[in-house]
Amino acid sequence: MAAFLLTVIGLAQSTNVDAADGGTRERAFVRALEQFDAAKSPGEYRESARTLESILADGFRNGAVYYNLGNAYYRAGEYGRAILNYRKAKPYRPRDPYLAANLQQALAAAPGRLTESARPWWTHVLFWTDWLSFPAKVRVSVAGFTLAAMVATAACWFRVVRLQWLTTVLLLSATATSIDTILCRAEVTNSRRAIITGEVTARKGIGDSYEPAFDQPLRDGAEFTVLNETADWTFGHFESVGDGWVRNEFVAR
Amino acid sequence: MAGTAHRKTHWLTSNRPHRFGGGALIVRLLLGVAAACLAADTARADDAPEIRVAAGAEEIFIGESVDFQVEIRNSKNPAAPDLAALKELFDVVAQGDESRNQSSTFIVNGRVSQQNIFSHVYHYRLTPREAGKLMIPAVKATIDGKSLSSRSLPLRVVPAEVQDLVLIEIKPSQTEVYPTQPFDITLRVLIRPLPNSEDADPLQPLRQQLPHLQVNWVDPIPGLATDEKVQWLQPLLARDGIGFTLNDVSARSGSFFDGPRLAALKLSKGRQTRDGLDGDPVRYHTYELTRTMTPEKTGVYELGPATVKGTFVSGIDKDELIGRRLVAIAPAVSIEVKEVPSPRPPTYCGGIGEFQVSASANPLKLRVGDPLTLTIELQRGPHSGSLELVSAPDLESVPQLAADFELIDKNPTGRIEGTVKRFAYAMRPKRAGVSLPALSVSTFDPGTAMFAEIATAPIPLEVSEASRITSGDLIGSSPASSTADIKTRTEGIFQNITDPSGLRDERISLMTWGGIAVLAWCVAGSLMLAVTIHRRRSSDYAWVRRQQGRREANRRLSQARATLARGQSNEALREVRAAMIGLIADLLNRVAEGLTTADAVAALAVTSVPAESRDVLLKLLESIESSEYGGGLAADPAQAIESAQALVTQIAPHLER
Repeated sequence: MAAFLLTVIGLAQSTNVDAADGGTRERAFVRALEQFDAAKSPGEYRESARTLESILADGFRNGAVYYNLGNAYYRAGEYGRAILNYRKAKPYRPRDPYLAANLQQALAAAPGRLTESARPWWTHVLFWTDWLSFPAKVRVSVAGFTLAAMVATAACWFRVVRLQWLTTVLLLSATATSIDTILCRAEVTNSRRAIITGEVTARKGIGDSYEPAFDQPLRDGAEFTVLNETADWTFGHFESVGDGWVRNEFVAR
Repeated sequence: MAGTAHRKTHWLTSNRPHRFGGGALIVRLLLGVAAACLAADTARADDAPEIRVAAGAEEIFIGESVDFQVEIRNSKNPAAPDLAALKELFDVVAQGDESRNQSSTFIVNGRVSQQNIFSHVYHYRLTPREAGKLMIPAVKATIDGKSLSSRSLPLRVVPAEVQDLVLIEIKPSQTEVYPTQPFDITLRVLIRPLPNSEDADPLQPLRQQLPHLQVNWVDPIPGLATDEKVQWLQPLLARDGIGFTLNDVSARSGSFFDGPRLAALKLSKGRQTRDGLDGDPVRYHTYELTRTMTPEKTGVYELGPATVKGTFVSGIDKDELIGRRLVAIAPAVSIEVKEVPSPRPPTYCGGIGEFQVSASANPLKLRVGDPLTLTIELQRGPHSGSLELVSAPDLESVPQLAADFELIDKNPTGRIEGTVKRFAYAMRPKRAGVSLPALSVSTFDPGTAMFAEIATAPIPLEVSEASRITSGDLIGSSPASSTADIKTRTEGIFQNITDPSGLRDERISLMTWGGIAVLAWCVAGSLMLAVTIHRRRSSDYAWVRRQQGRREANRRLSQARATLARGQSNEALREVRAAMIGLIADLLNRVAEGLTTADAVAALAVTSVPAESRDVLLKLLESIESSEYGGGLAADPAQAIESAQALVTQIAPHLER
């Protein structure tokens, strides 16, 4: 069991960033903050955003970086990108009141904001979904399963009925948390959500020759669900509006 | 640039009066067949490398282009051919290349053979620079170290026909502009009126075969910004299908089976009178296609040549219109985008063209030291440069302003709203009685190539002395804002996260963490299985005896040694016997009590215990019994213990299996 615990700790540690990369990112993070503080024009805020984007370039994920990135885009007047990054920060900082406030501010400022879809039903059942960050959910799930395994072994060894009940409770809790984790994974990978970053006319087909899909062009900040995509176009469902194709240059994900 | 040569050969063969009808579809098919033949005539890897060329047409008009293909065969990775020889006579534009390598495997009567075919085709578009009977020079390429050369191809470039039926010209609004200063480029086509109806649109009889325009500014030209092609052409679409087609601009046909067709554009712009070839004035029907362009960088840009091709009504014969196929070409025009000259006045703000400047201040009545916002508005006139280039005027260079006011914001960021850019300066008056003087800003006038100065009107202010505050006013007095209710402002965003210590990678590998959970359950399952098996076996008495047999025998032998050490020889021998009989009874699950020497040896006979071991055991037990009952030679207890110890080691493994 000791060897097993050492293996678990080793695997958990292996996800940490190594020191050299950490130093480079830290410097970039501080530089982005300095650029943000010195910025006066949208272009200068964009420069800060670019520095922050460079931190995330190789798949690095961090809620604070996303949050600051959202702030930089907000100040640059790119509300769509700001909303997108605040939403990306949310799974990592679910209880951050400033993040929630800034997201609401960006949503209010976005000229193209559409009606938001209703919260999925399962968020009411898995009521703790907004309490834990995504990494915490994964760790809690695995810890639950591991603890259940240990308790089950003890129950078998000592033949204690109460421990069997405890195993059942732990297993059910870990399973529920795992389901929540899997459902929230789409938010983290951002595989289906996208946002419009400029004024663009959604089309009924792939090409500018197709009729507009809606009576008005879409504007910065219109969020949608990706249904299909090609190299140049994305087909999306716009809540309470309908479906349409938009050019990828106006889509951020 | 101009259109491809697919259709051009066809136009050339019919430069004579003919009746309307027919189509150019056959020509397309012919070119397709020719291309297919080029590809179908395959080459194999074991053949010598060769280079082949093909042109899309043998005759074209000046200003038109011809497709040119270079095929390199029998080389796996050929380098691009050298077209330097062509560049004297032609403008060469690469159109990409494609590999046509093939690999085939044949099995005939069980015999497997493979055939590799290597072919690489390079596509170019050639635009001749002069008319006449030209030769497309040989193309060279170095393949596998060998220099290969293609054959030359003839190409006849026909000069434009002198006629006054259709005229075409390119007219720019300006030929010299400055960066960001927009200009218009207009393609104008003039067509003679119909012989039977002076006022009728001469394009009306051409509904079945619309005349085609070819210009080089439909697609973006690097360095010249334009609006979207769709936005530009959408309003020009002809609903009645009468007009011009343009380049490859297509529109949906509305039919699922037809696919897209070339769009008809309505370009009618009234009438113009020009002299015909005979000197008589002709009231031409005029058609114009205009596009606004904004240069982004300096340089010379060539727009054109442009062509119009089609069958136009040239006469009437017994109430039937006679058509004439022709091509008219408008020479290219050059637009020079110049740099704003230097030296530039210090008040130059970056504006190019016509601008108006105005200023306003708020508040107009204030005290010394109070903040004041001065807003300067620069309004851009038509055909003037972009407001993006306009920077905030340097107010510190205005001596009177610098002397009377303290500038808080010296270089404000401008805000563009439509054609106006606003700069808001924050400042404080230094003394009472001052006003804002007229502020001069320089812009560049491209018409005169000079810098022009424009100025705001002076703004009178009422600046009074600041009131004196005594210490008594300050101590114990509460600020005015403290009496009002304080409310949270909803505007703005909360500040950044500034602590870099939280900058850890929050990526989570579900596979890794899932693996941990699975591993935990595997370990737990193994443990539980082991416990269960152990328990199950613990309830098996024979198994338990077998597990403990050797240990028990060794224990008894140890006890025998201890007994012997106390000098109790007979007792020690009894314990040796009990150890050996007990071992056999435990391992074979027999009742130890009452088991004789003969029984024990007989029980071992049916096992895999070797005969030698059985004999040694028999002798040992008999010697112990003799010592005990005095029937023979007495056994040496120490030797008996060692012998028994050796027998345990020999016998037990056979019985424990």
